[in-house]
Amino acid sequence: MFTLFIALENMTAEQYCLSLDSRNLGCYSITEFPLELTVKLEQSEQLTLLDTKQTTLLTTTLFIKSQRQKQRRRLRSPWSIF
Amino acid sequence: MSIRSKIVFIVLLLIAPWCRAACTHDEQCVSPQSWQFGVALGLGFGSNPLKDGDTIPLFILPDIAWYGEAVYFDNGELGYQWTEHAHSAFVTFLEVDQERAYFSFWHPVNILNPINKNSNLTALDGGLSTGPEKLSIDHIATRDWAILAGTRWHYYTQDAQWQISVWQDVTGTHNGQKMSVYYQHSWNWQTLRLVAELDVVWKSSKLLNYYYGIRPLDKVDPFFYYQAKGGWQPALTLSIQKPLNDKWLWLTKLSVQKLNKGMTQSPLVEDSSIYRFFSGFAYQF
Repeated sequence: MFTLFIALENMTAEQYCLSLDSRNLGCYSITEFPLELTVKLEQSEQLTLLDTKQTTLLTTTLFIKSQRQKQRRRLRSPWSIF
Repeated sequence: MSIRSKIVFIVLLLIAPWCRAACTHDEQCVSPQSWQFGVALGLGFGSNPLKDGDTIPLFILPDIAWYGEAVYFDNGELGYQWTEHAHSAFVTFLEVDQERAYFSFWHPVNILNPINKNSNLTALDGGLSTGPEKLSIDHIATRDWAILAGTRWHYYTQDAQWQISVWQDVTGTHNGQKMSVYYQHSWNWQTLRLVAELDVVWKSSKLLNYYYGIRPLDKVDPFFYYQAKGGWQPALTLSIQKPLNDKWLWLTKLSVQKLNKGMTQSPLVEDSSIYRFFSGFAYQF
């Protein structure tokens, strides 16, 4: 999971919406910014700022530069044949 | 485009790595679709509570695990993991019932005279009037292996783990059951890793009576007939690991398991506890 910290400057409209690729992250009042959002990100995705008419205002790409291989927790203790 | 010149859109990623589940100790983590294989060479033993049962020597201790996405094999347990969360897991599995091992491992009868496993009590062959003599596993009918199906719930905290398990014989060998409550706590002290495990196991009368009961099928003096009863068998295990480098570690394990009266009062059983010890050097491939 990632936590996004989103700040707006010099923005005047009362409400803005956010999307991550095709996922709608919700619409927020200008007073709610700066905003923290927790998102699940498994690959690089595009974060978009929209107005209430769904017009794209800004976009930025969240790149995953490296990813640790998923690991499972062993269900028996090592050397448990003992 | 003019709006872009007027605004600043700041995005910071505060917390990064997403992990499938909390897997904080490297030796307990495994990548899906991969094997973990290790061999420990050293000296050790497992005591045998049966009369004339041989102490089981431990020179080699393997550690073999394979994990897929949900299916796994880990040190003799073949299972399927239904849920996997940071703090809990739920699995079902099959494993061989280890109870049978006391009746065969390196036992002279099995090495020197494997055909005569159903032999009668020698001292009583001439008649049943000789009175009670010593009875041991040399004189009784063969006990079969059983496959147990089990289900287990794990609960993890930072340095501890709880498990609640139930087992059922699915081979019809004894149709018995087991259940256990298990607690494990680990500490890291300097370069040592210390692990304490408490496992309180309940074994059913069907399970214990199959292995430790004496019945007409054993063809011994009826004086020895015995019906074993189920009960609790708590076990404490302590282990110490000291990594020597990326591949080698020093490993010592010690355990004691207390047996219930329903088992220890069997004419086949002479010890009230089972002790195990192993110390050696382990290599992890």
